[in-house]
Amino acid sequence: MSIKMSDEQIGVNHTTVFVEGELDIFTIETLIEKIDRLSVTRCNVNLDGVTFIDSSGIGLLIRKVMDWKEEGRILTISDMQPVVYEVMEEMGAFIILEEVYSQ
Amino acid sequence: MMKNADANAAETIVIPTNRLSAELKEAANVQKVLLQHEAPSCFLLDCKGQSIPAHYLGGDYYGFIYEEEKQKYWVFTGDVMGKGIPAFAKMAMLRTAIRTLAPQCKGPADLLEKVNATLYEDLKLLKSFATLFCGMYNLTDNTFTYASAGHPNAILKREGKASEFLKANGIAIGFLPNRTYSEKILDLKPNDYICVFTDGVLEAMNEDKKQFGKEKIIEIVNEHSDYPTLIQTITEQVLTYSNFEQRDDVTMVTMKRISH
Repeated sequence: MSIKMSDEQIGVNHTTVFVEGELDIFTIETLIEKIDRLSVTRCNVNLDGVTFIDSSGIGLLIRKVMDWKEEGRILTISDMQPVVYEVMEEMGAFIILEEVYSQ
Repeated sequence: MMKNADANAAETIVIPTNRLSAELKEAANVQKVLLQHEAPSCFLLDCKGQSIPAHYLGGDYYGFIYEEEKQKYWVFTGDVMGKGIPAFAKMAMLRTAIRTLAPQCKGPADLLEKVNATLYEDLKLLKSFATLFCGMYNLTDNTFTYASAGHPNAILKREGKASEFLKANGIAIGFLPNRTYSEKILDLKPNDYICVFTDGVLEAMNEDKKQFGKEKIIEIVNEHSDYPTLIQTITEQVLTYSNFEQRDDVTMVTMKRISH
C-alpha cells in the first residue's frame, strides 16, 4: 500500500497537492507530513488519483483542514472519485467541512 | 515522588518486552469482556454480535442494553479511529459513555448528541473521532428507531423481500461540538432483522485490491436463510476474500424480531 504525491504551485501563496493511490491509516501520515511542510496560505488536495480511502484517512484529513483554519490558512479537498466521495459522504465529511469553511 | 518527563521516558524505554507482551495479553482479555458478551435475553428479539480485531487490540465496539422496565432494547456498533492500543483505549471511553448515557436518553438521536457532547473535548485533543450506529427497539409498538454518526449504513432484511440499506445522515463523533442528530423509525415485523457492521467488512481487499463492498454483503444477506449463522458466514467470506490478511477489525451485529 503506497501513495504518490506531486504538487503544483498556483501562485505565490497557493499550491495544489495531487495524490495517487490508497489513503488509509498507514499512508495518510505521508500526506499529512507533506502538508505540514507547506508554508503557503492556501492549498488544495486533489484526490482524483485516490482509489481508496478509509475513515482514518478521511478523519485525519478533516483534522488537518481544521488545524489550517485555526491558523488562518485554507486547506481544501477536491476531485474525489465516486468510491471516495461515497465513503466521505457516509461519514458526514462534507457537512463537517462546510461548517468549518463557513466559520 | 514526582519525576521529570525525561525520567519517565527513560523508565518507559526499559520496560521488558515480556512484561509488555503480558500486559497486551491482559488488555486483550479486557477487550473480550468489553465486547464478546452474550446479548441480553429478550422474548421478542434474537440479537448477536461479533468482533474480530485485526491485531491484539482494536477500536471497534458493539453492545446491547435491555431496559426491560422501559421496554427498550438498544443496539450499538462503533468504530474508533486508529489501530491497536490507542484505539482500544478510546473504544473503552466510547463504551463507557454509551452505557452511562443510554438509560438517560429518549432515543438514538438523543444518545448520539449526548455521546458527542461528552467525548468531543477528549477526541479533539487526541485528534481522533468515532463512528457510531445506534438503534433502539421499542417492545411496546415493535418499532425500530435508528440514528448514525458517520457509520456505514445498516441493512434491513424483511422476510421474503430483498434487503435494503438504512440510510442515515449524521457526522462522526468528536469533530464538532453541540451537534444534533436525526433519527428514523420503521416497523419490524416477525422474522425481519437488522444487520450492522463496521467498515472493516466493506473494505476487506482481495489480491486485485478490489474491496469486498456493499453489494457482496447484500448478496450474502439475500441468499442466506439461516439467521443464527449469518454473522459467521459473512465473516468467513470476508476473511477468505482477503486471504486472511485482515487490515481492519471486522465487527457485525444483528437484531431479529422473533415470530410468535
